Amino acid sequence: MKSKGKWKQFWKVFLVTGLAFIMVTISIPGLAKEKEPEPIDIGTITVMAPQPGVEITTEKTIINVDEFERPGEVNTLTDVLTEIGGIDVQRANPLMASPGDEVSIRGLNEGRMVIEIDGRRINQTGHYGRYIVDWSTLNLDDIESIEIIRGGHSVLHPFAIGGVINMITKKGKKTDDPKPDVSLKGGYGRYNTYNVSGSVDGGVGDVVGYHFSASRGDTDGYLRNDFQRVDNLNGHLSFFLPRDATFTVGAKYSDVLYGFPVINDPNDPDPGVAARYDDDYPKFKKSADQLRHINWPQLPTTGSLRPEWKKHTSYLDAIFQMPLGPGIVKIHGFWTEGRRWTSSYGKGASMEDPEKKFTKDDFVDDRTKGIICEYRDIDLFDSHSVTAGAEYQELGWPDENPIIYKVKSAYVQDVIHLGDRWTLTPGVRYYYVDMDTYYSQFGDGWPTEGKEGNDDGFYPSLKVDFQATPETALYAAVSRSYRLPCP
Amino acid sequence: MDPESAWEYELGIIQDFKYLTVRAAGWYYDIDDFINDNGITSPGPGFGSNCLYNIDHVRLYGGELEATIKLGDRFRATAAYVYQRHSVDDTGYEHGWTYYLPDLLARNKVKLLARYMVWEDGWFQLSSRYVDARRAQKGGGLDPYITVDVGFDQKFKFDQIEYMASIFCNNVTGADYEEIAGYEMPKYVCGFQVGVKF
Repeated sequence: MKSKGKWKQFWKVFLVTGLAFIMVTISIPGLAKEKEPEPIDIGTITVMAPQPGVEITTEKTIINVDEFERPGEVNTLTDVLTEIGGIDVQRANPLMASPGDEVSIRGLNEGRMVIEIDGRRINQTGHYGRYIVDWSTLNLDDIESIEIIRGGHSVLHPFAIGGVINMITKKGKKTDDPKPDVSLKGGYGRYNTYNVSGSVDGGVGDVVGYHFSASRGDTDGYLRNDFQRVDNLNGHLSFFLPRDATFTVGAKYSDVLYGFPVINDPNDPDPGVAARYDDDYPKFKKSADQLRHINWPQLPTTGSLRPEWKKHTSYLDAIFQMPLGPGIVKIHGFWTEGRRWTSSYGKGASMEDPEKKFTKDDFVDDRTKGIICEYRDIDLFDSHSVTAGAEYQELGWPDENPIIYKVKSAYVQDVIHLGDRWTLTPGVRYYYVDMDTYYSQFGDGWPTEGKEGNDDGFYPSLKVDFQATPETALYAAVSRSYRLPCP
Repeated sequence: MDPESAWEYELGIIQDFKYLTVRAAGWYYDIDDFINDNGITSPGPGFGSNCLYNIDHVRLYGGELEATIKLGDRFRATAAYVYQRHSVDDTGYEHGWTYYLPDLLARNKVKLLARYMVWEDGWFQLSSRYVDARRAQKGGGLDPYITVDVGFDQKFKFDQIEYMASIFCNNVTGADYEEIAGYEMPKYVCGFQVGVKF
C-alpha cells in the first residue's frame, strides 16, 4: 500500500472537518438558511410512461410502488422487477421471492450491481454461499418508489458495473392531521400461498412523521419441501426540525423460514432416494443448477433432518438532511445484519446413513455498516448542480472475520445545463479498498493470491444529454466502473 | 487476484410520437479482470472460494427496445425487447465444468404488459414473457419459453374508503418452463387479492 498513510490522514481530516463544519452551521442562527426554491430551468424532458406508476427517462426508470399494477401480487421487489424491460429475474420458486433467486441487468447479476435502500448499499460480501443480496427479505410494505439505473454511469452509487436498484422508503408525513392513512391487504392462491399485510402512515403536530407496516407471506411451495414463510416488520420515524432539517430513523426486519427443495427422482442413483419418490410433486433431480453455493439438491428427509434455513435480517438507517447554502447536506448512517441457521446435507450424503452428513443449524452471520456524508444539489451559476460526498463502509462476517472489506470512497458529480437542450454530467469516484478475502487454493497452475490486499483508483463518468425536440431525447455515456471483488 | 473494473459505453434515445413512445439503447461493456467463480461446479470441496480466477476481458454488448402505446384512457401496452451477447477471453483454466454467469441468460427476450379498462376502474391485465434458449450451469441447455399471466382488478370507493379486489392466473397457458435449470415452474397458479385503504 504505497500511499496508505497519506490517505488515512486525508480521511481523518475530511471527516473531522466535515463534521465540525456541519455542527457550527447548525448552531449559528441564520447561517443554515433555507435553500431557495429556484430550480434550474432545464426546459422540456422527454419521459416515457409505459404503465401506471412507471416513468422512464434517459437516466433511470422510476416505479411508484402504490400505483404499479400487474396480474398477480406485488409484495416483493422481484414481483416488480419481473415486469420491467431489460431485467432478468431467475426464480427458484415463482410463488414467493426466495433466497436462491437471481436478478440481472444486461447480463450482470447482484455481484456486479448495487442494491440500495434510500441510496445506501445493502449488498453483503457473499461469503458462505454467495448470498450477496437475499431477495426474500426485500418486501415492499414500506417502499414508496424504486429507481433503476442501467449500467455504471452514475458516480453517486458505488460498485455499480451492472446498474443500480434503489428502494426509497416511506418515512411518514409532515402534517397536523392526526388521522393516519391505513392500508390492509390480503390474498390467497394455489399451493396454499397466502399473504397479509397492513400499514399506517401519518404524522403528529407537524413535528413527527411515521410509517409502520407488517406482513406475512407463506407458501407450501411447488417443489417438494420448497415451503417458505416470511414475516416482515418495518418502522420509520421522521423528525421535522427547525430550518427545514429532518432526522429520520428506519428499520426493516425480515424473518425467513425457507425449505431447500429435496430430490424427487424415481431414477436417482441412490436407491434410498429413488424409493422415496413422491408423484404428488414434480421431479427434482440432483443435477439441478445451483446459483448459490448452499442450496444443492437435498436428500428427501423430514422431521429433525428437514433441509431448511432460518434467516433474520435487519436493515437499520439514520438520516439527517438539511438545506445549507445553495445545496442540501445529508449524513446517512446504516447497518445491515444478517443471521442465518442452515440445516442441510453436505456433499456425498446418502440415504444409507443420512445423519452422517447432515448439519443442523449451522450459523453464519454477515454485517455491513457505514456512513455517507453528502452535500448535494448545490446550485451554482444558474447552470450547475453539483453533488459531492464521501462514504465509509465495512463488510464482514462478525463470527469469523468481522472486516472482510473496508471501503473508503469519495465522489463528485456536476450536472451542467448548457441552454435548454444540452446537459453534461461529468463525475468521478475514488475508491480505496482494504481486502481480507478469499485464498485461491486450487493447486498448480491456478491463482493462489488474493487473501489480503488493497486497491485504489479513480473511476470517471461522463453522460451527455441532448433534447433535440420536445419529443426526442438523445444521450451518450461513457464510464469506468469498479467492482467490489466478491464472488 | 486482481480487482475487476469495466469501461462502459452507451447510446440511447427516447422518441415520443403521439400515441406511441419508444426507447432504444445500445451498450458495450468491456470488463477487465473479470472475477469468475466456478466453485459450485468444481470437483473440489465446493465452497466456492477455491476456484476464483481473473479473465482478462469479458465483453457484454446488446440493445434494448421498449415501446409503449396508449389508446385513449382504456388501453395501454408496453413491449420490451432485449438482445444481449458476450464474449470471454481464454485463460487456460477452462475445464469441462467451467461456466460463466452471463451464459445462463438468454440472448433474446421479450416482455409484454397490457391493460384494458373493461368498465370504470375495472382493468383486465395481461403479462407475457418470451425467453430464448440459454445454457445451463451444469451443462446442456434450456429451451425457449413463453408464459402468459392474466388478471382482473377492480377498485371502488364507498364512504371515503377505497376498496380493491383482484383475481389472477399465472402461466395460464400451462407452459412447461424453467427459469433455473432443474426447477420446473408451476402451471395455472390462480389466486385473489383484496385490500382496503382509509
